[in-house]
Order: sequence, then structure tokens, then C-alpha cells
Amino acid sequence: MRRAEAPARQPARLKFTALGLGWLAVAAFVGSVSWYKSINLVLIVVYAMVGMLFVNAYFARRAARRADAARVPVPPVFAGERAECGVTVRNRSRFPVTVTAEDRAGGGAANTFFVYRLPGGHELTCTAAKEFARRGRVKGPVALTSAVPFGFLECERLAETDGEIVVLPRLGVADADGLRRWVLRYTAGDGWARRTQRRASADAAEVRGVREYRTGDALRDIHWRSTARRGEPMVREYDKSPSPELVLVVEPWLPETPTDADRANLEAALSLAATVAVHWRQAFDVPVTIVVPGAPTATASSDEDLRVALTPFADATGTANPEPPGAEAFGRKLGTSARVLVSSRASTPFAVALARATGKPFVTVCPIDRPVWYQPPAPPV
Amino acid sequence: MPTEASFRFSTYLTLALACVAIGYAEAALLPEVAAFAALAVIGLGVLYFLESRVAFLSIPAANRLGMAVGLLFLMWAAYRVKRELDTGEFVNMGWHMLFVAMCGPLVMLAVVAKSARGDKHAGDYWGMHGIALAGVGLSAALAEEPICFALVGLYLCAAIWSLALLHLCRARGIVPPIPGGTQPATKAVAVSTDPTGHRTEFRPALACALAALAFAVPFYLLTPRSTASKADFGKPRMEIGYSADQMVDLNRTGALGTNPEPAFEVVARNRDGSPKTDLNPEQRWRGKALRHYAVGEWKAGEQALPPIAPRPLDVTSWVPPDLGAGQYELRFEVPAKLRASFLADPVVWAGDQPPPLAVLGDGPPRRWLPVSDGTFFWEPDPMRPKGEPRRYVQHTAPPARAGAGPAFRFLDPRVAPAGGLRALTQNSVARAKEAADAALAELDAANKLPRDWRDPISRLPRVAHHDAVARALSAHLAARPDLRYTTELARANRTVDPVEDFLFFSKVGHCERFASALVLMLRSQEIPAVLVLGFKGSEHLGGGKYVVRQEHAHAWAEALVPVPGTDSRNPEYHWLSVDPTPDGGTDAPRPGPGLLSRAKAWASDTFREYLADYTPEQRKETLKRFAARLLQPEAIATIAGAFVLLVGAWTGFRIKRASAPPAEPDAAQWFGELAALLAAHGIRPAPGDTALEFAHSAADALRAKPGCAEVAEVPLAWATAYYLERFGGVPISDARRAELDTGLDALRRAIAA
Repeated sequence: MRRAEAPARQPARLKFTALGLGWLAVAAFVGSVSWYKSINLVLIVVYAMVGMLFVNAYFARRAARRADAARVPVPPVFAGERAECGVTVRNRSRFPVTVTAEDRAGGGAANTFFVYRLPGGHELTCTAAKEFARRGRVKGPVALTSAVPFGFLECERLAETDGEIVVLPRLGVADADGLRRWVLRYTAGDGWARRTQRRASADAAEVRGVREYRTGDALRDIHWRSTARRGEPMVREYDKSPSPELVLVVEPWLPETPTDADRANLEAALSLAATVAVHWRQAFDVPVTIVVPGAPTATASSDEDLRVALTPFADATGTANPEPPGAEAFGRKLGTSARVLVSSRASTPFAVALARATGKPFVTVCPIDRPVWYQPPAPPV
Repeated sequence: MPTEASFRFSTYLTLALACVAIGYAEAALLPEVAAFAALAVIGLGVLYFLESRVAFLSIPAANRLGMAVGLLFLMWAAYRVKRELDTGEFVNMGWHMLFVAMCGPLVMLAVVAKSARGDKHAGDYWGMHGIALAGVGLSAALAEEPICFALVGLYLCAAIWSLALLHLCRARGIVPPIPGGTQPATKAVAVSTDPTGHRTEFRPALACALAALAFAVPFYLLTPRSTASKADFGKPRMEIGYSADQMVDLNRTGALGTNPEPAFEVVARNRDGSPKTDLNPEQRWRGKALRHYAVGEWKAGEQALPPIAPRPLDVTSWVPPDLGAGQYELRFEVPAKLRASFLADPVVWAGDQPPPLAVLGDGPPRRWLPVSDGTFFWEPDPMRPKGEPRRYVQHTAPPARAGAGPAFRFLDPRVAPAGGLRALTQNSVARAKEAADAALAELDAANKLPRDWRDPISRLPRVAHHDAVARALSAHLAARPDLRYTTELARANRTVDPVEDFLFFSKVGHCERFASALVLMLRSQEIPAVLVLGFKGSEHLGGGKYVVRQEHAHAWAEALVPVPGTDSRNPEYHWLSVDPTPDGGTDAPRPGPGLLSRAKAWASDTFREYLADYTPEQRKETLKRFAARLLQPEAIATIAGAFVLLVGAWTGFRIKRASAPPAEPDAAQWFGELAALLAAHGIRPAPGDTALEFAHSAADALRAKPGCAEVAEVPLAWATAYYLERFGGVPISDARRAELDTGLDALRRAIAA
């Protein structure tokens, strides 16, 4: 009855470990000699050694068949981020089982959990930190293996193959205030980042007073008069003004025959775009709308939503002729939002096309521009 | 979780048992190996005690220790070689045997030296187990004995326990992998029901060991056996069997093995041609008589006996003699490799009849001729190809007098018995006469001898009473309570002759010693006697066909005595077969009356039958016996009943299990669940933590974990409840249990978020 109700499961595969092969070789050699020369006591020891292999095979197979495992759902994670990935191991039988659950999603060292004598009918969720080197959708089975009691033979069953982990681009570091100023400075322009339209000092907020200089304060915020009067560096302190929502468009441009540099530029652009979105969202706590040509538009009002909204970044493969989305893709927010276009190429015609399509200019930035408020992520090891 | 202490204990126990097995197996060859084994066991005990208390040796230091140990071994080996050159203790076994035996101490020293190494990785443990296994293999090869078998069994159980724990420790990362090999991935160890980790895994390992042996033993018994010669590792194999070289050496010591190999076959037919199926199970088959004895060795002797008076025989053809009622025919087929002919003893023959023996060949049967050494002579066919079995026929009947052979007269009456038969009365063991005199005195006192049996002048038995004296001495020797039959040959006093040793010191021996003692005792009384080698007993194969096996080999004595009532001036003689072995000699030692001795005898017999002497023939025989027993109605009924019982018990168990409500977990199990949950998320108890200490550290870890501060008190609540129930004897109420459960759910949600 129970078997009929159980979902289709992968068959268990039994294989020798290196240790088991060595054990078998020793048993075969000693067994041959002792059989030929009728050294019977040694022969019984050898047969017991072979018997241990059968015992190992039986118990390992039984344990692997009695347990199930499934990957714990993980929200999208950024490459290079330490994410808690886990596996839930369930004992379907009435007897304790000892198994090893191995989450083989992604490259690098797999997370391996040794579950010892899990009681019958119980389940156990094991988690461990894991980093993913590159963006994308990471798939892979959860393997349940058991080599009890000796480790000579290992029975492996791939318990679950669906369920993937979305890995977003690696995040860099962005100075949120600098980003804000940069965005607001160029928002009124025609979309070309190199043209200054407004004074930066008026962008951020109203000046509330002065205070002592702290490491990291911008030089332009130093209030020279107060500094001269106090004899120590003083900087202006601003009242935070409400920051606009961010509409972030990404142009995943890649030529028809891309070079390594082109691919690197695409990755850098996606990292830059993700960094802008995350830092904007974290610094100003406003909704962020993500638009990627060919993917549905998503607006995120929380950090968790933002990870979901950034999911198209994981799938972006690059295209030579990205189609700019129309105004309808942005809803009514476009006029009041900070509009940023991140492209993988400098001087992209996509910005002009986007402006025409939406009727609004976008501040355009490319990783090659090396914006001062942005520190790209370290390349993956 | 099994503790590290369990793993260490099982490992050291395994190594110590290996050392004990080596010491036991080699003690007989190199006595100092037992001392080595004792030292090794003590060393392992000390290392076990110290390993968890002090840091062990680094790799360079361990290497230096290994070199020192190696030097010590070389010094001992040099001493052994020098001693061998001086004394030649291994001269019979050969130098190779000495070198093989010297590997035992090397194994023990290597095990101890390797154990002293600190920071042992998986390769070190496997190395130690490999060395120990090699040592146990060596000991099992050198000593195929029940005690060694038991030691090997104990070693196997301990090794299986240790290997199971080694696997768990490797999986948990407690034992690091071999350097350069695959490094372990992240491990999260889940504890389940025993938060403090007191499991030893001994019982599961014992079950595994039993399962492995349950596979190994039937597999061993059923698989075909090699027909190649058995390796004896330099030790000459001694077994009950007929020696083709027809020599007897009473100086041998050690256990006699059994050899169920068929020696020859006999087909018995009644006079009417029907198969004779009631052949005497105690039937002796006479092979060869040995006349010359010196320093424990019997040889055939070169001096011929005086000729006997010829009888008028028909030389042209042979017809079977008429031996009267009960006559039957025996057709022999004896392999040429035995280099002897065997006759049903005693040969029954009436003087006016044709010889009862004839050669069977392509032509008509050819008669045998009687000769004075008690046998019949037949001239082999020169055309007979070498290696052809000897085929001949014997007609016989129950003898008129027990053990008495055909009567004959010597050609020259003056030579008998004191003249030409002098060789048959030579006794080289002076104390044999002492034993014979004492025995005759006892017999005389018991009125078991004729009234005038002794000549008053010579103080020797009268010739006319030699028959009675020989029979009485044989019966007395067989009944002496201080002499015990055994196949475990031993010497109590090696400075004296083996027969003297047997009669006065060791007082234990097998048929050859009993028979030799009787022969020398008879000779000491001037009664001519010889030692006879042959077989006793047979195995009926059905249809009147009998097989005589090597394990039926036997020795007895024959005395040349005058036929009672014969003319003293020209007496007739006959060879009288007398068998002094208790109960006529059995192939196996008889156990004592005690339960322990019976059990010991059973174990010894079983070990010998199924292990030490498990030959292809023995296997065939065992399978045949097993199949025969299996086909008996009682066996079938028993098996069917057991099967029904098992199926019923299993069905009942399943029904009971299915209908039983799930057991309420006790507090300890609940705490284990909490510990498992925490461990799965990287919060594990430190070594030696009590449950409360772990709860405190877990609470701290939860407070530091984002989103888990609110549930940080849950472990403390669980630990308190656990302590209350486990140590305070306060059962937890249902309400409190529900509360704890709710807390656990909250913790599970928070920690997974």
C-alpha cells in the first residue's frame, strides 16, 4: 500500500568505493592462495571478508531506499553571497537510518550532511552556508548515499532533481548617497551621463547644519568657513529628502560574435545593475522597478521582492539587438522615478531608442564608465 | 552518536586480539613470541590509556620509534638465526619456516609503533588494520586449532566493530582523510535520540559479524575444495593413515589428523553369490608386519624367517576352498600406491583345502602361497602395467578361535622358535619386561592364566601356554586403567624409549604405541611377536560394497604361538592376532564422562572434521550426509514447522506493529530531537558538554543568530524538562509537553527562516 502511494523514485545504484575495491582485491588474493593450499582457517576469514561486503551492500541499499531527501527552497541569492542552503531528509520507514545527503547543486564543493540514525517517520532539515561563483540557475540532484556500516560499498539514490537555485549577479559596492546624487544630477538631462544638468549640491537635500568630519565624508561637503573657524574639518549635514523610486533598465547587449571582453562587460553590467538596485532599495527604502528587455517588468518593495525581481538577471544571456520596452512597461511611475539605464556597452544607441520609446530620458551608465560611486565586485576565484 | 572512546577502544581491542592470536599460534615455534605478544598487548593498553591524555608522537618521532623498534627486531632476528645455526631447531621445517614465523613479532611491533603516532588519519587506521589482518592470517595459517579458531573469531568481531566505527568517524570528520585525498565537504552531523552520545554500536556490529559469518561458513562448506596438497608451513602433517613406506616412528608428537581418503574397496559376497551386507564392523585388514624395533622406530627387518613345510597344492588351477558354514568371498581392489595387499584378518584356511587367496587377472585366478611370516605370497604378474590396482579374492569364514591364523609347521623343527626366530624375540627396551612381569603377576594373582603357565627355572611362560599368555597380556594392556588412548601424541620423558615412556610416564598414546608395547612385552617373555599394520573397520556403501578409508588405519600385534594341543615335539604354529588398543582402537579419542570434556571433544572433532581435515572427499561426504538428513521425514517436518512458525511470528509482528499506536517519545528522545535540530543548523555540543551546558551554549548561539533571539530560551526549557525527568524522576505533564512542543515548533520555524 505504502509503495503504491509513494511518488516515483530514482533507483538506487550500488557501487564499490575505492576502499571496497582494495578490500575485495586483498580478499581475492588471499582467498585464492588459501583455497588452493587449503589453509582453511584463513579461507574462512576471507569468506567473512566477502560476507562483510554483502552485509555492507544490504545495509547501505536498505538505508538509501528508506530515506528521502529534498532541497530546501532557497530565495534567489547573489553570486559570492553566503547563502544557507539546506536539505530535508525524511525517514520513510519505522527504523532508524543513517545516510549522507549531498546537495549537488552548482559547482564547487557540494554540501554534504551526514545524518546518523534518523528515527523512523522523522525528518530533519540540515543547512549549511554555500557560495555560488557565477550567476545563473543552478540545478543538480540531491543525492542520498549510504555506505553503512563499513564504507566498502556505497548505495546512491538521486532523491530529487527539480528545484533550482537562482543565482543573481555578483554584487559590487555602491555609495548610496553618491549614487543618488549622480542619478539626480543627470536625471534632467537627455540621458547622456557625461552632461551635467544640475548642481550636485542641490541634489541631495537641504543643509541642516555642520558637524565634525568623519571618515568617508565627501570633500565637497566640507564647510570651509566652519573648518577655518573651528580649526578642524567640518562638513555640512543634510536633511534627507524623500528619494524617488528607481526604474532600472538593463541592456544585456552582446555582439553576434562575442569576445571574452564582451562577455565580461555583460557580466559587469549585470553586476552594476544589481548593485544599483540593491543599494538603492536598501538605502532609500523605496520601490525599485526592474526592466530587462524580453522579461516581464517587476517592481520590488522589499529586499525579498527585489531578489525575485532581479531573477531575469540570472537568465540574461545577452543579445545583439535588444528591443527597448515601451512606456506601457513602466506604468505611471516613469515620470516621477529616477530612471537609470545600465548597459554593457558605452555610448549605446539603446538609450536614445529607450528615450524615444518611453518619452523620458534615462541616466545611462556602463561599467566601462567606472562611476566614482561604484566599486565593482572582486572577480570569482 | 558513538563516542570517540568507543572507537578507540574497539581499535585497540582489535589490535590486541591480533597480537594474542599471533602469540598463541607461534608460541610452539618460537616461545619468545608469546612474550612479545604479552608486551604488545600491555603496550597497546598503555597507549589506549594515554591517547586521550597526552599528545602522541609526531610523524618524525614516530618514524624514529619505528626505526628503533626495527633495530630491536633485527637484533632478535640475528639472535634467532645464530641460535638456529647452533641448534638446528628448524632443520626439519626449513629456514623458510623460521623466517615466516619471525614475521609475527614484526607485525606486533609495527602495530604498536603505528599506534603511538599522533593525529592519525584514515590511512593510519587502515594501515594498522591491514597489518593486524596480515598477522591474524599468519596465525590462522600456522595454527589450525580450535583455540586459534576462537581467537580469530573474536578478532573478527572486534575488527568488524572497529571498522564500523571507523566508517562513522570518517563520515563525521572525526578521523581526518588521507592527506592528498578527497577533502571532506561541509558536514552537518545530526544526532537523533542520544544527545550525550553514549552509543557504542557494539550490538549492530556484532549482528554484522554474525551475518558475515553466516555467509562465510555455509559458503566455505559448500564450495568445492582444492585438490592440491595442503600447505603445512613446514610442519609435517600427521594423520591416521596407512604409511606406504611401512615404517612406524613412535617418537612423533602432536595431534594426529584424520584422513577420510579411501584406501581400498572390498566387495563381499555370500557363498550363494548374494551381497554380504553384515560384514563385521570390527574386521581387521592385515597389511604388513614389522619385525625390527629400535629407538622408537619399527622397520620391516631384513632377516627372513625359516621356511615352513610345504603343502601339497594343485599348481595348475585354483578353486575356492570349502571353509564350512558362514563362508563368504571378499574381492579386493587395492590401489598400487599403497604397495601392499590387505587380507581379512585372520586368514581362515584348512590345510587340506586350496589356498583361500587368488589373484584376479585377465586369465584364470592364480593361487597364493602361504609363507612363514603369517602372510600369503603371490607373485605379481610381470606383465601387469605399473600403477594398476591389485585385484584379488579371499575366501574366509568366522575363525574357529579368535585371532588365530592358519596352522603351519616349520621345515626344520629345531629352529623354531628359539633358533631362526630369534629376531622376533629381541627386546631393546629393558623395562618392557618389567611391565610384562608385573602384568603377568597381576594376571596370575587374578587366576587369568593357566595354572602351570610359567617355567619354574627360566621364569618364562611355557611354550605350550604362549597362546594363553599372549591373549591375557593383550587383554590386560587394553584394560589397564592408567593407560589412555588418544590421538594427541605426546612424550612425557624424552630421555627414554618411547615404549618405556608410554608404559611408565606419559601413559597415553594411540594404537601403534599400545601394539608396540605389547610386542615388546611378549618378546620380553620370549614369545615371538611382530607389529602389524593395516586397517580396522570399513564403511558399507551398499550392495555388499565396502570402502576402507585411511582413517581406519590401525596397528596391532601378532604372536607366533604353538597351536594349543599340538604335538610338542613337532608343534604346529599359528600367528595369533592380538589387539591391545582399548576397545580395539578407535579413530578418535574418547571423551571423559564430564560435560566439559564431552563438549571439548565435540569441538575438537568438529573442528578437525570441518576445518583442519576438510578435504574434497570430506566435503562430498558432508554434503551427502546433509542431503540424506534433509530428506528424512523428520527433518522435512521440522523445517516446515520452523518455516510456518517463522512466517506466523513475522505476520504477528507486522500486525502488532501496524495496530500499535505510535509510542510516546520520552523526554530524552525529545531532547535528542532538539539537539538534532540545532546540530542540523551548526549548533553542536562541545566535547564533554552536559545537556544543560549545551543548552546554555545553544541559547547564546540562538541569541546571536538573526531572528532567533525570541526562541533562545527553548533549549534551556527543554534541558530543564530533560533533567527533571531523567535525573529528578519527575514525569512531565501533558500540558508541559505540549508547551515544550510548541516551543520546539517555534524554534524550528525561526531557525529555518
